[in-house]
Amino acid sequence: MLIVGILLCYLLGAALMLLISRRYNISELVGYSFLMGIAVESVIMLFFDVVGVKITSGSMIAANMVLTAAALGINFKNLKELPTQFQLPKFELKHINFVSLFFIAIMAWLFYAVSVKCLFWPATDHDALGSFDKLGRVIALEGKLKISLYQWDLQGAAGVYPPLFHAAFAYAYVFGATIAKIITTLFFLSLLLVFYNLVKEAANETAAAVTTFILMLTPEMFAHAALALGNMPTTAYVCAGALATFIWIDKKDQKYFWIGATMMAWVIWIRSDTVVFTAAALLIVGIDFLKNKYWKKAISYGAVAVLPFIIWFLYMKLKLQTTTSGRFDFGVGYNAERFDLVWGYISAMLFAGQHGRIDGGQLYGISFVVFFVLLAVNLVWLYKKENRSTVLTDRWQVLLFFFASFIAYTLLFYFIDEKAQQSPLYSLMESSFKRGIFCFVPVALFYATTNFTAAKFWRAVERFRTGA
Amino acid sequence: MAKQPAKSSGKKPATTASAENSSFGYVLRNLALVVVFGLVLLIVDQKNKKQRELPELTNEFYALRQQGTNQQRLIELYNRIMEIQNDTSFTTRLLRGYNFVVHDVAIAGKETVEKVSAELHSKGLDSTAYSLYEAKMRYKVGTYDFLKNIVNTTPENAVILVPKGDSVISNNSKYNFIYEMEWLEFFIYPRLCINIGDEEKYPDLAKRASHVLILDGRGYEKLKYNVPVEQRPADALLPINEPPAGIQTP
Repeated sequence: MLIVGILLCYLLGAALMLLISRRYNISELVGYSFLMGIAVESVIMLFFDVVGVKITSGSMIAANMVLTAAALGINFKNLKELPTQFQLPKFELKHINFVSLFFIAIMAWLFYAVSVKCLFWPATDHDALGSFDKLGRVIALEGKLKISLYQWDLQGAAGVYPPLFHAAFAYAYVFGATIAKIITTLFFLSLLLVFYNLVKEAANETAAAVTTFILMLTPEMFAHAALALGNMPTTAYVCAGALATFIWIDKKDQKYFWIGATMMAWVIWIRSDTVVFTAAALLIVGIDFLKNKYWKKAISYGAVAVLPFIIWFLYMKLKLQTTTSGRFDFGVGYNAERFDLVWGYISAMLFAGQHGRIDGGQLYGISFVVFFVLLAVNLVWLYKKENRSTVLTDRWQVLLFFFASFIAYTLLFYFIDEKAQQSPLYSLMESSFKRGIFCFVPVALFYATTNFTAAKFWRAVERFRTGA
Repeated sequence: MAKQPAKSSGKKPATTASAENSSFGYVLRNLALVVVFGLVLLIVDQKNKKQRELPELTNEFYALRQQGTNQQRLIELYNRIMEIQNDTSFTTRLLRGYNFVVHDVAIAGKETVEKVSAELHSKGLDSTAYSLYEAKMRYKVGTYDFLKNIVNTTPENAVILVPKGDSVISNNSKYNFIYEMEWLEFFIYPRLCINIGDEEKYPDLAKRASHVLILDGRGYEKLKYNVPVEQRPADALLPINEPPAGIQTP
């Protein structure tokens, strides 16, 4: 039964992705379909909860069939052209990228190994039992999102998070799963496939394979591929939304506009603190709008990306009768002690240093170090060897997104009310902040691979590889 | 560039030869890059080799120290462990996480699964999906049997009073997070729980309290009967109003 549920989710996601574009390869479609499908499943659950329909396997199958049929029906005319446009892989010798194949083979084994671990063990992490997995199980049992535990504050910290992640667990339980961690595995697969294809679009296949390998092996994130926590799935949405938006700003390809907007919308449908990414995306789209003056597109992007935030805010206020406000203390102002503490952790995380129980190298490997080294190399190269004006314009959208969202994310923790959170700041930095940093890894690696100097390097590698 | 086809018969056409050559060259160049990248990965793995020695060295060190024999080897082990631990160079710090990923999470994680899986199978614990799930939970959560006992001995509408996690309880790993209501609720749902001291916050729930969870001797004050000190177990689940059979109240 679980297989039926997963297949329906993929079908729904694929039907919706095909509304956006028909130009996908198989791995791209598989990656996006799950992200889109499971997000829409959570929207269906919210809708059922509001209108009073019980969430069961029957009601979910019916909703899936109706929505998939509707999406395919609307798109019927265009889909007739699909067989000619769908990109099937080529198997001629000169089309095989052996370097890419080498890395994909290692990644496939690592993915297999971590998935064996993930699918075998039940969720036993503190936050999974106290929140995500519990919410999933009880939603499936009670057939509604606003479960009885809210009455006694027993829902756990994720109870005020938007429902995507715990609803994904509920979806698996509704379809009879004993352990719902197949959801974690599919999120990890989607993250890798989406990142690979987006980097490939902006650079080339070899660069994409090497960079995806580095992303996959980011130590702490790889460990999360066997857990039932929401940070890695959040990273998958930030990766898809942000990178597609960067490519759209670059190439003005309609496909990436809608992928960017919808995935960015799901970013705030999975966690609330990810609003910093949506804000950063709106900032770069806003700046690009000022340069190119496209009213309709800018408004569409903003509306799509912000809509889930409004829906969840209203649901919390009207149905759950709770808010996430009051968890911040903006009266802190500038506090040197607090600033030093936050900065100590940040510098350890970003520059492979050590602070408290944080070892940046152990957690994120070379990801951020490579980003900063290549940022410096690229700026120096552009200044000395190329047109100096490009220093400010090369991949400006990626850098602005990275730094704006990082500063905003840091400020969220700087201003956090320790009493309301029932946890000291250092502990929050060593747990929540540390895991939230995952979301920046794909963005940092995307820049590291696609900036002017790196792109030049990867083009040279490609010229050598193909003998062109 | 593609050459014109050769006119003489019996010889291989030049285009085919050229295509084969270029295909050969293409594969060769690709393989050269694979070798380069492979070497980089190998160097990283070799750099982390020392890290992999650490668990074995530490185990041997503690075993020898317990036996109190072979002082020479003990000193050697100590020096080697310190040498590895003191290597905090930038590259070591940058790369050792990859050792954790490949050797601890992926390889050791998979091996553990295979080992535990075989062990559970040999005990017949994988006869149903649920029995397998329970066996795995027992493996991971130390208090699982205690928690199952709560479920088995209370009605579904039970409300359980639980002591808060003070420094003694919360620092004793045998309790896992049993003193945290959100964590405990996962195991006992649809039964409800409330921390002792939070009764004013949830008066309706407090009124419905039917049981008290005794942890490390804490919680007896909430019972509506007295349990003689000599009969008090450190950890137990007791009905709040009447003593269970087996407890003699004064």
